[in-house]
Amino acid sequence: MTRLARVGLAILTLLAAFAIVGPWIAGDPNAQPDPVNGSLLLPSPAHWLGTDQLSRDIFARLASGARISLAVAAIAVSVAAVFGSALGLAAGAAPGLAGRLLQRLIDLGLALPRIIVLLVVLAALGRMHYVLLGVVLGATGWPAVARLVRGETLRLRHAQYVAAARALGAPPARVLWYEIFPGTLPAVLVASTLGLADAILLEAGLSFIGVGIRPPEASWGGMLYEARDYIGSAPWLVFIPCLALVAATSAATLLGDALRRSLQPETR
Amino acid sequence: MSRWLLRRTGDAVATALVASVVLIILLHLLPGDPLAAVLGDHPVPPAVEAALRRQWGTDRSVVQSIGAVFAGLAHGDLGVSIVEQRPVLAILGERLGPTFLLGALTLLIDFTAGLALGVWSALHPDAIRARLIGAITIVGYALPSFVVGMLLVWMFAVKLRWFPAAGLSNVLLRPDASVMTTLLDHLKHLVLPLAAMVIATLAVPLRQQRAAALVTAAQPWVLAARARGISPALVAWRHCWRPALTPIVTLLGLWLPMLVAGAVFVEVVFQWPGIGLLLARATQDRDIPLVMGAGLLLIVTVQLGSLLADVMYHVVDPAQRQA
Repeated sequence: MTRLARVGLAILTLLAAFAIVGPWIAGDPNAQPDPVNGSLLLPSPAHWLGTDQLSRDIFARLASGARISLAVAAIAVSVAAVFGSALGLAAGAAPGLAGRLLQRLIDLGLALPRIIVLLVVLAALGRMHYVLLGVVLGATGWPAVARLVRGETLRLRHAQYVAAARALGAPPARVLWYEIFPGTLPAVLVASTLGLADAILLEAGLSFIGVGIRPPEASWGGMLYEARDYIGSAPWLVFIPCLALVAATSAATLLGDALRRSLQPETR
Repeated sequence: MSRWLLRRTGDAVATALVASVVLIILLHLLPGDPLAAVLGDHPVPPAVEAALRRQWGTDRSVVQSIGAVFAGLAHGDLGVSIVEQRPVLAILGERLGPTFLLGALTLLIDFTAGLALGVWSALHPDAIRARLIGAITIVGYALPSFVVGMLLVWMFAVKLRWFPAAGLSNVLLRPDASVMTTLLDHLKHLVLPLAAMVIATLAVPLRQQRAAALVTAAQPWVLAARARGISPALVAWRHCWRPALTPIVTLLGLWLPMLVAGAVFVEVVFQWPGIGLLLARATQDRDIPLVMGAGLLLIVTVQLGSLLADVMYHVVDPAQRQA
């Protein structure tokens, strides 16, 4: 593992720990102790990162936001990995017309810009729980995984050890599950790590334009959405969630790139 | 070539059609009733509700909806926006100009500066240049477009006051101002959104072109050209640039969806009155006809772009023409 990958992994671990432990020590993210005199305060011992326009503690919102933003991204990546893998395996292994139809389905998923599908779905559903938002993000993230897994499946079908299993008389389903599927896992892992960065960014972007996680719930993108009007008077309201976002996405990208290099040397 | 082009065009049209059908079906499958959301706690007489449902099209079955959308498309009619009570097509028409301007300029800068920087850094692989390219790449990949946009606003609009923070033009500008003044005002408003778009998207073509140029520069015929005494600049221009162009052309097709996503977020940051800002606001208002209209428009644009990229690929790479 390279040094950059270790840094990425360390940052992600820290952020995950922060998401789990943070909300316990930080208190209620929606408490408004003193809206008259206590808003837009600079960092102090009482409020480690200061307060926002409604006198809410920014550290508490950042912690609660970490939990929501990372949970949404983790759910999205898991849904996309499971659904994409199943479809990719099926498309790669199914013979004749079925395989071609599945391939067209994946192509269609890749041709549709993800952001547009997401906006249409969010317009129809309106305000939603963050778990559901994660599922929706995952439901639009599968084509990238499916394409990779299909490619790996097609490649592994002609691998010698798979031919050997077939020659020993293993039925197709067994070959697919025990021989080909494990071989596609490195590709899924790489796609998921890189997909994690995408999911974090998309959730933040959607919340930033006011259609993802909506106020008063805290997410990093949502904090930016609320802080936009205060960029002149209290720029740290903007900087703090930006920093958290950039840390998370660059960590996931570094780790994903490193994993790709070590797991799939042929794609370099 | 012409048969290939015909088939490729057919493919693009079919994808756009199937994509719109998928979106319509999706809207029907999802729970959520925009009308109920708008009415909220204010019950209306059943007759009024039925009339509203007819007007909004929420009383239609899936098949009727698909039929209505395609019939509308054939007549150049995309329905009426719920919030604005105006034809969707008219609203889209007003928003097309700003988005096209921003997108086209971003594309132009990315694919000239990006290509030049890519080739330049590949041909002179020393530490400083590598570090510069590395910095651009990291910023481009790690910083989301809206974060770049907010930071630019803070730096150049709030702190330095060089450029306006938002909008297409200064509303306080007198209507009888001279053409030069108006143009300059528009340009000033364009700088920050354009910078945000370019910073957020430049890394992809740059990295791709750098990789392609590195491969090309290692070819024996490049060495042979150098051995014949041709200057490095001429070798770069004549021998490295064109073969390295093919991967970038295919990239154009992949890169357009990125431009679309970037446009949505950057337009919101700068309140740039284009399709992206419209789409974001319509989604917030749950104005389904408007969301569908803007979505379809962007899908068709992306399909057109990838079609164009494939055609250019044929032009650039002679080997493709025989296939």
